[in-house]
Amino acid sequence: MAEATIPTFMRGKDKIMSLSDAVKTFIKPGTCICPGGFSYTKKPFALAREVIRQDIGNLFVTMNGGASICEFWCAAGLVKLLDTTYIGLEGIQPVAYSVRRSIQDGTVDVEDYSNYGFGLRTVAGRYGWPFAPCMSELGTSFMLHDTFAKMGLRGKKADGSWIHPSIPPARAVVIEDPFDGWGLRPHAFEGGDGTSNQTNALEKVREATAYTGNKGVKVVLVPPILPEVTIILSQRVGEKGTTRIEGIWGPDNEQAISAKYCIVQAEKIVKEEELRAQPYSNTIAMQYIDAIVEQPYGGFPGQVPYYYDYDWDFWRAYTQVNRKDKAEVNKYIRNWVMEDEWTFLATRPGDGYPTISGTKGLERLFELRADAMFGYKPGLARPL
Amino acid sequence: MEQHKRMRARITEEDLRLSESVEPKESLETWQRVISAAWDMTIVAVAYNDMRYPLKRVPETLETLESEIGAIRDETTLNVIEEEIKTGIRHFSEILEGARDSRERMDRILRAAWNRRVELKS
Repeated sequence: MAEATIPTFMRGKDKIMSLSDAVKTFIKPGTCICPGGFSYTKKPFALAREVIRQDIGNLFVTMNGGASICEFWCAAGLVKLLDTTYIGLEGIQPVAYSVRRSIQDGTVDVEDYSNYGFGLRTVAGRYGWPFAPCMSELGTSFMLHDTFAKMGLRGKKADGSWIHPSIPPARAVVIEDPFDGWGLRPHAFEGGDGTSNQTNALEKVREATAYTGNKGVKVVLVPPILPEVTIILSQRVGEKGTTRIEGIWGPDNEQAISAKYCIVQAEKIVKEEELRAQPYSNTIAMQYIDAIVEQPYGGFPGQVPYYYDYDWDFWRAYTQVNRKDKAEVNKYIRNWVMEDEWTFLATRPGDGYPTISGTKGLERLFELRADAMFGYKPGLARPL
Repeated sequence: MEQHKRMRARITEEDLRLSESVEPKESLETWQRVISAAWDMTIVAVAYNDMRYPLKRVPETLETLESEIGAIRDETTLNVIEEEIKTGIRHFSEILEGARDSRERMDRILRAAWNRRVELKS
């Protein structure tokens, strides 16, 4: 691998690290960090717990795809800035309570985008585009609010450097579509082809003068995300970093490549040749991965497709815990993570919430095993 | 049934109480070996998802090919068929041997686990 792709402080060093060392090396107070995964699925919870153990605060969190990790970090009082989209815990708690409370009480300053707009930001970051065009933010109050600008975090300092290297100089910019809506494919939907897109909406859009004062189609340009560190979870990773994700990718590929550094938490580290035998099935090339941590079951209480399902009973109970007094939730979460990951896995699954079997620790984890034919555990009880 | 009822009931404060760290009944090393073997079997099972349907189709297409042999008029076609079948035998033998080897070990582990269970009870 070309040495130029390896950070200077990592040259000549093994990428395979302990959980503790990986967090210590790459994540500092104030780091702009981007957790991967989607909702409860394939979230790098072991790394997230280690951040809480090491009490790394003042974090700037940016991510697409749900707030389960951010919820724990907000509960532990470690987040200062949040640049994101959907902040829910799916149906079990549509708005993650600790995130919501931190925003409401001013502990966390938030900037938000639509799911699609934010997704395009990650795509722009992956491909090195200066921006990505979309229309999803139009017709809303999106352009009227800019938290980071109010905080003076956008733009450049007197010496020409960026005020914050992970905050773009503008939240978004509206321009007139230089292609006059051609890319919206009106020609593809004309003439009774049976699609529902047979309205005159595009003609109405062409008449609108909002945003620029001129008639015509408008487009929102959104900036890329450029996190300092992205953390992801993958089932299998080669010794040098080749990453194979099975099941839903979520935003992992985009967010990993957008970042300056990427730490991958693996269920299993394997020989590179195992993954290179079928290179087209690999998700992320080794040069984008800076550190590898092997931590089986590190995605608990979330789900890792084909390996184990999420622990619904935990989340059901946790969403009762996180509505308690803020200090109490903070104390709970710091107690919950315990002193290291293996002690955590031996103790916490099935602990502090009722389950049907009453099993705890690693035995409980094996109850959550997925059926490899489906990717999840059929018949997993999900009582509300 | 009682446990299911309890799961549907409201979670109490007592339910939410976290324990102090517990010494696992089994050693961590044992658990790590269990996980490692389980993950390796899972990797193969996931890869088999790609094979499941094509593998079921192969006997049928081979049967069709077999019935076609009597109608072949040119020897070069037989050369092609022989080469394809030899390649198939190489690939399928590798799959078969790998699977058989693992399967035999699984049987041995089940027998050993049963024996250990009896020992623990006595």
